[in-house]
Amino acid sequence: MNRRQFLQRTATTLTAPLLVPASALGLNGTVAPSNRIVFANIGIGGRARHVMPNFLAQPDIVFTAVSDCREDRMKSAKEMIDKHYGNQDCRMFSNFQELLAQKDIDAVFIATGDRWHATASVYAARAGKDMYCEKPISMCISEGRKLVETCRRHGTIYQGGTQRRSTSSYRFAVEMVRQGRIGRLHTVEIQVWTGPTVGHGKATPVPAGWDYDTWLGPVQWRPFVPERVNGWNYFWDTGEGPIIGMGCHYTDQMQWALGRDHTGPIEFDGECTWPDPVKYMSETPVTAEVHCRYADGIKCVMYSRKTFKDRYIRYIGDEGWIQVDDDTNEVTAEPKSILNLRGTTGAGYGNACDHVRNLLDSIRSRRPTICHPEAAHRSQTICQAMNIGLRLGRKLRWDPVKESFDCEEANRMRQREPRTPWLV
Amino acid sequence: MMIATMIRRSSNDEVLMKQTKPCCLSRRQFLQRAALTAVPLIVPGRVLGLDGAVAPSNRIVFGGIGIGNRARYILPNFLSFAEIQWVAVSDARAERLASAKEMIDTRYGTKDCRAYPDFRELLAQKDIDAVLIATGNRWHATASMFAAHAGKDVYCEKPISLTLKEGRKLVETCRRLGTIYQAGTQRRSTASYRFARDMVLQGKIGRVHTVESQVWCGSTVPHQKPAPVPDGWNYDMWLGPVQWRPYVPGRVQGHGWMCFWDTGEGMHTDMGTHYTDQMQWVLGTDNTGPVEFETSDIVWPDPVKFMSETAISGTFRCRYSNGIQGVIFQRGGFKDRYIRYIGDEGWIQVDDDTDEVTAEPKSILSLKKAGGVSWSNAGGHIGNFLASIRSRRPADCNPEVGHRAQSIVEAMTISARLGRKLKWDPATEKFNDEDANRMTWREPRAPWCV
Repeated sequence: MNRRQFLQRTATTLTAPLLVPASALGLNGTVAPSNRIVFANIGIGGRARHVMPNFLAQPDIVFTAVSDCREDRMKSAKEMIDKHYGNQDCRMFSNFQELLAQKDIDAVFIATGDRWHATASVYAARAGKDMYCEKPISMCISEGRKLVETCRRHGTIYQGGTQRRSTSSYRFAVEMVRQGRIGRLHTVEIQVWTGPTVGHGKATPVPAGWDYDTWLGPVQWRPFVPERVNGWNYFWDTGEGPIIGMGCHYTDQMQWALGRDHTGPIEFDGECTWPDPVKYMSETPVTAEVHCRYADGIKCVMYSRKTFKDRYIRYIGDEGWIQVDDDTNEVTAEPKSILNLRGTTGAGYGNACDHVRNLLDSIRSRRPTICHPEAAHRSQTICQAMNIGLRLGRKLRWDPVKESFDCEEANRMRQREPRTPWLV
Repeated sequence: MMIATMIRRSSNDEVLMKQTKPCCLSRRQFLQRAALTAVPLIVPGRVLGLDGAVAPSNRIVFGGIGIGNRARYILPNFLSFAEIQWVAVSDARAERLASAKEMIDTRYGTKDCRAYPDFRELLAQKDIDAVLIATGNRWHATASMFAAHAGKDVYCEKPISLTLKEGRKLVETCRRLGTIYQAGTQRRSTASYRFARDMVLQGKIGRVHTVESQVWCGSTVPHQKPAPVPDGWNYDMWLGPVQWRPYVPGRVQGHGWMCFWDTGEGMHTDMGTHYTDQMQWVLGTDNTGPVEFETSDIVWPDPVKFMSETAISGTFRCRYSNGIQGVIFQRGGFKDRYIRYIGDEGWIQVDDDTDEVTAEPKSILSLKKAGGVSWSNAGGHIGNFLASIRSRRPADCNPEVGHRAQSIVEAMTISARLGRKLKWDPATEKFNDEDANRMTWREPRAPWCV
C-alpha cells in the first residue's frame, strides 16, 4: 500500500475499528506506508540500474512503477524492483505519460538518454511530481531555463543528478576552498577523458521490443543506425560528448565552491580536435581545452584528454591547491596539512544515497534541494556555452543575467527545436 | 530605384513630380501620387502607356529573394515582360547579391536595383508588388509565407515545401491573405506538356491506367571536413529554418544541399514534383491525391563512404482510389527524364530533355501544332502569374495545386525512408501510420516558425 492509497483507505474505513500490524503504523523502526514517498522510474538503462539500489535502500520510499521504450529493459527493471520488495506489484508503462497520470505516484527518477531529460522533467513537473533527474539536465540553454521556470511555477522539488554535491570527498574539497585553506582561489582545473569516436554505420531494422519513435522523442527522426543509437553520447542532438556528459559534474562543483549557483562565467574560449568525418560519423570533440572566466577574474580550464580514469577537479589558490581524483575518490592537496582536516572517509561518487536522501528530505520539507533546478541549469549552461564556442570556433562573451551571448549565431544555438509533439 | 529613394527622402510631392522620371515610378507609388496631386501635369506619352509601352502606373513591381543559378536562369524570362519592373534583390551571399543587381541594372540601364542582405527588409518595401522566390529548397515555403504576410504576391520555385504540413500551412496562409501564388512547375504552361494532356483528356489513348515518369539518379556526396564560412556568406541566414551545423562545403555548395533530408529531399522530390504536378493536372485531381504509396529497389548511399542521405535510385509508386497508378523511376542520366501516360488504347510521352512528344498510335502526333517553347522557357508560366496578379484569380499552379503535387513526392519519400507501404487519406491529409504522420512536419529553427 502506498501513502496516497493508505490515506484514502483510512478515510473510508475510519468508522470500523481495525487490527493492523505494528509495521503498518510505523512501529518496530519501519516507516509507515502512509509516510512513504511513492516513486516511479522513467527510463531504465545502465545508469538507472546503477543508481536504483541507492533509491531502494531508502526505507521511506516505495518504487511502484517503471517506464521505458525498450521492453526488455522495462521488464528487467520490474524484476529488480519486485525482487527487492518480494512482490509482483511494480507496474510497467510503455508510455511515460501514462505513468505520470498515476495519482498515487509522488516522485519520479528520470534516467533516460540525455535528449529526454529536460522534456521528461517538465512533463513530470506539470503532472505534479517531484523528481530526481540524471545529468546532464538539459540539451540546450533555453531548455534548461524552461525547466527552472516550470519547477518554480509548479513548486516542484527537483534534484539534479550531479551527486558529487553529496559526496564527502567533494564536500571536503569545497569546504577547504571556502575556508581559505588554499588562499585566494584563482583557477579551477577540470579534466574529463578523450571523447570517443563512432565509425560510420548502416541503418538496420528497429529491434523488436523497441519503441524507436519514443526513444527519439524530441530529436528529429532518422533511420535506426545501431552505432548511432548505442553511441548517442557522441552526436549533437542526442548527447554532447564528455564535456557535457561528464564536465557538468565538475562545473557543478565549481559553481558550488564559488557560490555562483545563480550566475556563471562571462567568457568562454577553447580549442578542440574533431572526429575525422571521413572515418567517423560521431560529431562531438575528441580532445579539447576550454577556458572560461568569471567576472571577478577566476578562471576555469577544462581538458578533455587522456583516459576515463584520469578525470579530476583541482582548485588552485595562491597558497596551495586541492584536488579530487574521481576514479579513486582520493583527495590530494598542497600544503598536505589540509588533508589532516578530513574526517571519516565516506563513499565515493558511485554511491548516490546521500544525494537521494537530500531529495527525500526536501520532498518532505518543500525546501530546495542541494542541486535545485537553477543550480543545475547554471552549471549545465557552462558546458553548453563551451560547446557552442567550440562549434562556432570563436571566443564568446556571455551575460549571465540576460543569459545571452555577444554573438547572434551563438544565441541562436541556445535553443533547439524539439520534434512535435514534444514541445514543452 | 533612385526614384523611390528620392520619394522617401522628400515630403514635397509637387517638387518630386518635377524631379522624377515618371517612367520609373512603380504602380503603387504612381497611384498614391496621382491621388495626392490634383494639379494637371504634362507627362510624356510613354508614361500613359501610349506608344506601345506599359505605363509605370500599370507595371508590376518585382523583387527577387534568393538569386542563385535557377534565379539567374529564369530572370531573363521575367525581365522580358514590359509590364514588370524589377527593383530589388536579396541573397544571403554577397557576391550573388551583387551580380544579381548588376544583371538587373544592365537590363534597365540604370543603377537603381536595391540589394538587401536580409529578405525581410526587401519585403518591407511598400513599392514591391510581387516576389520571385528562388532560394534553396529549405527556404521556399518559409519565405513564401513571409512574403504573403508582407502582402506580396509570390512566384516560388519548386519544390514548394519540404514537408506536408508546411505545404498545407502555405495554402492556408495564401488563402487567408488573398495572395496570388504561382508554383514554379512551369511545365503546365509548356506546349508539349499541354498537348500531351489534351490528348489524354480527349481519350486518344483510351482509358489511362498508368502515369510513368523518370528522373535521373541522385548524386552522392563523400564525407568531408567543415571549413570556415566563406567571406560574404551569411551562413546563419543560408541555413534559415534548418538546424545549425558546421559549414561543410560539400553539404552546402553546388547541388550538395539537395542530397540531405533537411535541405533537400533528393531528385525524385526535387524533379519528381514537376511530373506529379503534370499527373495531377491530367487526372484532374488538383485538390486531392493518391491514396497509397509504396517504394522499391531504393539504393541508398553507403554511409561509410558518403555523407549524403537521399536515394541514388529507386522506384516510387502511388495509386489513386480509382485504381490509376503513378510511378516515378529514379534511374539513368539527366537526359533520360520523361513522363508517359499509358492508356488501354495507347500511350503518349514527353521527353523532357528534347521536348519531343512520342505516342502510340503515332497518329496522335499529327494533331500537334508546330512551335511552342520547351520547359526551359518559363515565359508562359510567368504570363499566367501576371494575369492572375491583375485579375486576382488563382494562377495555374496555385498553392493547393502546388501543395498536392508536392505531397505525392513527399509521401513517397516518407514511404522510402520508413521502408513500408503507406495508406494516405487525401481529405484529412493523414497516413494510416503514426511514424509516417510524425514525419509530415519538421520543426523550423527559431525564429523561422511561421
